Amino acid sequence: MALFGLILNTIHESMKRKMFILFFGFSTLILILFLFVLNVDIIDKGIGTIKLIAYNDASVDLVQLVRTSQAVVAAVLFVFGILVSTLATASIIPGFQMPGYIDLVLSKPVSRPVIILGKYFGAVIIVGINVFYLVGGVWLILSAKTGIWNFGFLASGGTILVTYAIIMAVMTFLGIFTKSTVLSILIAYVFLNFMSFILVTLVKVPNVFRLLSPFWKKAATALYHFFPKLFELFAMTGILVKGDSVPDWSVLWTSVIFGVVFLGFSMLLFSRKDY
Amino acid sequence: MKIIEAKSISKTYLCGIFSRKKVQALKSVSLNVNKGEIFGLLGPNGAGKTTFVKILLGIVKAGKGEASLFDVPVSSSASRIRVGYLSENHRYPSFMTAKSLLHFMGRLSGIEKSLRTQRIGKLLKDVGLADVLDMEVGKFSKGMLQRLGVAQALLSDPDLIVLDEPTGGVDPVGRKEIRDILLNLKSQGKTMFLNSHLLSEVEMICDRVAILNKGKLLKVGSVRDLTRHTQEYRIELRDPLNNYKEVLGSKAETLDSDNRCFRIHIGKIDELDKIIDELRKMKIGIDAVIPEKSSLEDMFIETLKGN
Ligand SMILES: Nc1ncnc2c1ncn2[C@@H]1O[C@H](COP(=O)(O)OP(=O)(O)OP(=O)(O)O)[C@@H](O)[C@H]1O
Ligand SMILES: [Mg+2]
Repeated sequence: MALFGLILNTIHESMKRKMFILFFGFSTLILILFLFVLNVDIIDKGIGTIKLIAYNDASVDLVQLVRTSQAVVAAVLFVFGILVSTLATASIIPGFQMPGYIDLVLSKPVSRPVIILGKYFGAVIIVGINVFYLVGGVWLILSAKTGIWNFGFLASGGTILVTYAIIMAVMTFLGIFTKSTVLSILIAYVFLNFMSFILVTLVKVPNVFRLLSPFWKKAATALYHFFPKLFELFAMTGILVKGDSVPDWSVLWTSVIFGVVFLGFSMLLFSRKDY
Repeated sequence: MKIIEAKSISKTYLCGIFSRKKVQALKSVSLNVNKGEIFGLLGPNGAGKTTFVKILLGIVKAGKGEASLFDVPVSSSASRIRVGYLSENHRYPSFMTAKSLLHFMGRLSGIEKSLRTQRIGKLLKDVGLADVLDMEVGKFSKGMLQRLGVAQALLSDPDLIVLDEPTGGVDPVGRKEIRDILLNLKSQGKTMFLNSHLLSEVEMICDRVAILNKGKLLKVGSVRDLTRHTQEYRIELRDPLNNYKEVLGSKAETLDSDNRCFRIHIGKIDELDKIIDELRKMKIGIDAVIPEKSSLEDMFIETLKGN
């Protein structure tokens, strides 16, 4: 019950944030667009005509249409949805440690790791609700209109949420360690994205990798495996939408391990701290 | 069973960049509180009162020593099941309302929904916040926040209530109301531990007090024992006594103009009996024999000076 209370409280707190209200409003707008503006007449299985309001268009490949629209939504959501969610939830952990308030929470018969898990999953759940509101909504509308049920698009909602969850795990750690919202964002979002970009360039672009000395080849590869691979998760999201097979699942699970380790560190650090 | 048991608690805070500065907040403090007591921890600013209470509640980790509540070590969250706490400068996220805050706190304490709803309704009425239960706490006045704090501390129907400066920032009427709530809780057999520097207040409600200064425990005892000067009595007579030095001893002083009220100094308690016998032999009526007490404040200042 304590865990549930903490999650509920975090969701309640987030719902009052302007960022999330904006996110939700934006998602609703896109859903309305897909619902009313796009008219599809199915001619044959997989072939149909689309009408954007009044203009009558030639027949198109519906599979292509559905996948392209969904790929655009997923890409926008990956970039801006995660950014907005990160900004909106960055202050949850620092704010929670407000002197005079954290004392009261800690005086309740709840262990400290449970408190951190509650705050963390509260944030992940509210972001998940926002992500799947848009992804699920677009998926339902397009599928119903065209008869093409692309489950890869639903899965892309999963990679988006996992990517956010990894960033949030690092923000949780930093929020406890520094109690600073700005530092949490800078390191968990800006620095991790930067590292991910640099490392993927060094290790995965053969022409660049060839230029490194043997030592740097080893160092870059080790770092590449250690850090979460945010850029490749973006690519994986696209692959899932397109319905292609994912070449390397280790990108996902090594990144998840990074997040889990940081969540563990967060619980450990929080358990030892004096307030 | 001891409700609170603390054995040689020490705490050193490390602060500054790279933890280079050390502040020793508590030096080997041992203290027990029994069931049904109202215990007051007194001390000047920075004495370590808040640190002690935070260690009892697991908010701060003790450096050395052991503490337990209800015989459960404070390192276990189970030690806090029967405890209610009101912190010194308690604050709440401004997005919460009185009601949502209490529901959240109640969930943390594991109180079932129906019981929670019933208790919250009653408590908000008891502390006089029933009309503002849906107002955001960001808009509360200081006194309202203090009442909310009290409600929050009592929500789990705790057997031990720990209050750090419970009447801070509250006007005299509000202070009296809080005092009445505490006395009412005492009559229900609850144990209370409070930190305060409002000595007159402590004197009114505490059974036992301890004095802490610079992290060291200087005195522990009942308010009566600590404030009584055993050698001084005040005697009030119905008839005047003019040759009082002969009967009451050479150190006796008269306190009024018609020689009916005196302060006497005695060595042993049977000297008092002898004086009373003598007065009765002289057929002088005795209205009162009162042991002279200094106020808690005098005792407090003396103790700190002596240290
Ligand atoms: N988190 C902390 N980090 C470093 N030093 C601290 C910390 N908390 C308290 N101290 C120091 O420990 C000492 C005791 O502080 P504490 O708050 O326990 O005193 P107090 O008796 O409650 O005082 P007051 O009556 O002013 O509330 C002080 O010197 C204070 O500066
Ligand atoms: Mg204090």
